[in-house]
Parts: sequence; structure tokens; C-alpha cells
Amino acid sequence: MNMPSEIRLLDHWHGIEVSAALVELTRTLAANRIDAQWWQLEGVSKSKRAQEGDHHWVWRKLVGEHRNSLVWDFIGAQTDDGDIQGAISYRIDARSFLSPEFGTVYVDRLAAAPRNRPWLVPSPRFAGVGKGLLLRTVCHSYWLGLNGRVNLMSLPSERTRAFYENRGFIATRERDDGMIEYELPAESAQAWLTQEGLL
Amino acid sequence: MPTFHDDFVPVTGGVDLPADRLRPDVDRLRGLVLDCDLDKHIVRILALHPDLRDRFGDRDLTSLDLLAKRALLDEMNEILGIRPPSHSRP
Repeated sequence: MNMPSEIRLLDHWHGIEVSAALVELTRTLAANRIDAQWWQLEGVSKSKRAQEGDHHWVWRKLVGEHRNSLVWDFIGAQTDDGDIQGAISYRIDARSFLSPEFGTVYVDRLAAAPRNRPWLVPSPRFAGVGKGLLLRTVCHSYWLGLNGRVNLMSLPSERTRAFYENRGFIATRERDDGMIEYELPAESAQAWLTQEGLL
Repeated sequence: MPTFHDDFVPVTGGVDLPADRLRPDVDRLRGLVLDCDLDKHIVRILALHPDLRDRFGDRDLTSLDLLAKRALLDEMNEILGIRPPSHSRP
């Protein structure tokens, strides 16, 4: 396997690139470095925090529910100080939205730490967490023989749509609840991996 | 270099996929725990690709040493058309 073990982040506070290790989330890590820390934001009102779609997620519980299954992976991006700057969970047993006869990796959850969200805090520190975690997932899909195919359901905001579509994801359906189903086809996935030097 | 706009809101609310959007043929992966990353990877590939299961059967990985496991993985990768990264190609 040639899975990336780290990703590069842009540290806005210091104007430099830094690396973050890609680590498997354990319940302890999720409890201590996500659930106990992420929403301790100074100067951000309770109501503003509550507006974030993942405010109620309890990562320790999610990791615990799937810890005895090889279907699921939970990965965090951890900087040198031990903090988790973003996390992703995905399952490898999904069917393609575009061609159901093919398997894909389905991204169940993806979140940058709230302190890294420019729309939420006045001075976010790290950028690139979401992209790095997603790229790692595409890479895993490729190495599992799923040709890099990844699908997910996105919030319908302009920002998230642009993010996915710029990377080759195709909107396959708009659901009744407003979420948009996206899939990264094999060709786009492998083009992205090649561009990033992973193929 | 990542840009400031490379970060984004959480993408899902944890929307569960209905059963008909999941593969029914990989149940063997549920309730299975392996400590070795290489073993985990091989077991996953065998579960995801029925044609490989037919060809290699259910190998007892505990009976294989590291070199044999790597050789098995190389063979499976070749069958699946998984290319090594360009920087490691001859």
C-alpha cells in the first residue's frame, strides 16, 4: 500500500506549511481531542455554534459503534501538538450512485475542527484539512481496487458544491431533504491522485 | 500549497445509506477485527472482489510470513490493475 501517512496544511497564523499525521481515531482520541475540545471556542456564541451542522456529533460514540468492523474507517489529521484538526469517517461497502454494479467508498462524515472554519471564527489557523482527508479517502478507494470512486451526501451550500465540483465530483441527485448526492468517478479520481503525485 | 478556500463545512449530517445502496456480499467484514494493517488490507480486498475470492480462496493469513503476504498482495494488485505510484515504478 502507498497510502499517505500525512497531509500538508497551511498554518495561517505563521504563514507556513506544516504537516499533520493521518491517524486512526480511537475512542480515547475522539473523546479527548474532538468531543472535549472542538466546541470550546472563545468569542463564538452558543447560537452560532449550534448552527453548525455537526455541532451535535459525538465522535467517541461513532468510533465506538463501528470499532469492531472492517467496513468502517475513522481517520483524523493530527498536528504536532496532538490536536485533531479534522476528521473523516467512511465505509467501504457502498454501491456506486452512478453505476450500482460497482463498489465505492462512502464518506459518512467529514469535518474540519471548528477552530479552522473561516466562517465561524475570526482567525482560523489551519486550511487544507478537508481536502487532505478527502484525498486520503480517494487514495484508499484506489488501493482497495475500487478505482478511486468515492460518494457522499453534501449540504447544498454554494461553498460545498464548489468544493466538490472543482475536484471532479458529479452531482447525481438532489434529495427531498435538500442534500445533494455526489460521486467522484474513477477517471476523475485517478486524475486527482496523479496530480497529487500519488499515482 | 493549500489555499484558504480549500476548507469547507461538514459535508454530511451522517446520512445512513439504505440497505439497497450497500453491498450485501461483504458481510464477512462486519464484526471482524485485525491488528495488522497488511492483513486488514488483504482481507478487505478479498471481501470486496468476489473474483479474487474464487481464485485465492480464503487464505489463512496466519500461515503466511510477511514476504508471502506481500507477494499475495502484489498478485492481487496486478489482477485488479492497481498501479504502483509513478515514483516507485522502474
